Amino acid sequence: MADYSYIKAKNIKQAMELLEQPNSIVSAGGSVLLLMIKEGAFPNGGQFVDITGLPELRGITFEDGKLRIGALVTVRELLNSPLVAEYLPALFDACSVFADPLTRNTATIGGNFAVSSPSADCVIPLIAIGAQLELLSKAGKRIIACEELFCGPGQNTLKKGELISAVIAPFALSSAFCKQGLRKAMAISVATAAASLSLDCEGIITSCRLALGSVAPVPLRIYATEKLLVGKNINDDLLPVLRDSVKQQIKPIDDCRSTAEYRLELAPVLLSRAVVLAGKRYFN
Amino acid sequence: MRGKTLVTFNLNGCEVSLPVKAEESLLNALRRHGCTDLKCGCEAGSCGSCALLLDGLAVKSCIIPAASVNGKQIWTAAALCEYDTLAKSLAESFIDCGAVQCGFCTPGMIIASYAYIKDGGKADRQAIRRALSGNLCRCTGYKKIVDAVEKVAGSFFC
Repeated sequence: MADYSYIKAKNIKQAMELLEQPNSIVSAGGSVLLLMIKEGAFPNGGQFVDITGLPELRGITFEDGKLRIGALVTVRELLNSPLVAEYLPALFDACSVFADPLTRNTATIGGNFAVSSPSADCVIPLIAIGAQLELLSKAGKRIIACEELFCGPGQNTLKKGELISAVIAPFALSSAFCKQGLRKAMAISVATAAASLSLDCEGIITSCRLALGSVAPVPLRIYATEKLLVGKNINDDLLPVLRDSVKQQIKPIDDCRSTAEYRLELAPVLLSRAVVLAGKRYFN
Repeated sequence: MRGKTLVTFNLNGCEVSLPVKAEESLLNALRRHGCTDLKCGCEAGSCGSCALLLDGLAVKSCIIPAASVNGKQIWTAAALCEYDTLAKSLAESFIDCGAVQCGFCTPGMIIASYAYIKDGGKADRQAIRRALSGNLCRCTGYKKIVDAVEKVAGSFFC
């Protein structure tokens, strides 16, 4: 039987040393760790390194004109933050439909990335916003774009000993997120879409970033559709413009929540809704 | 005690020390200790029947590692209803409104509705439904539960 042990890191230096050990497993909010163990994610056991005592990983602050969100910030804290509601509305949208109120009390933003599911609700808007991840290790700090973290369902590019310490997000006032689930609460998404736009005064899209969830092995940024939308007017019906392009870039699967066929139709619709909502926010 | 961690926390107003396995859930550890008002439903964080207050926040104890609660304050529904006026009002309201059938979901429902009202939640049926959206009841169809919470939320000022 697999053997597990538990240790709470006293400071960041000790955490970095503990995470270097081959059998270390990061423990933070604790909303998925026990479930992963039940599913056999760590068959050889390991040592839980509890990082919740590290103040460096907490808090939402301004830093160089961006928002720095500590990895231990919970979904509840994001929802209660006036900074998130004002400057990152797409992330706020995602947090308000994230699991249920009880889970939001423990689930952390860092954990949502670390699990690396293609359906992670907080991840999709942050990719669209153009946010970055700060990764800490004994060797130092490195910064990557959010979308660079993922390489497969449940798989990421974190190196051994590396810890997600913060999300760094630029302001994205005209951004939005739309989710389709099988029910309104505790729903892993059938598909999600997020958009972040820049517009000129006549409503012409001058630049945009788009991301989709649950339609590919990883949370997906759809570059080709971004290029297609530049120069289009936000007040026109954009669904016919982006439909074929979206369909060509996604690789949805059949699973217990939906079919690939349905997701192919759903993703462009959700995306066009997110674009429209983001556009409305630009003029408000 | 190889492979076990000793955790010390405040349970319903009393200091408690329990040896727990690293992979043991808080639900399991507390039920072993006698807190059978925490119900073991899905054990996957989906149904809310194991809800408790951890440092004042409603959480699902089946997915929280017991080892991680060192130094924290925990209240479970039964004790809370004994000592806290708001929780007591909720329990009475659940009875008055017929919001209890089999009763399995009730402790979790009390915890989630307690947290809702403590957070400043109002007697708004839609908002109450959202607040209880992580707690499943297979008997009542939720109407009477929402009635019970609405009645207390409308008359209680925190």
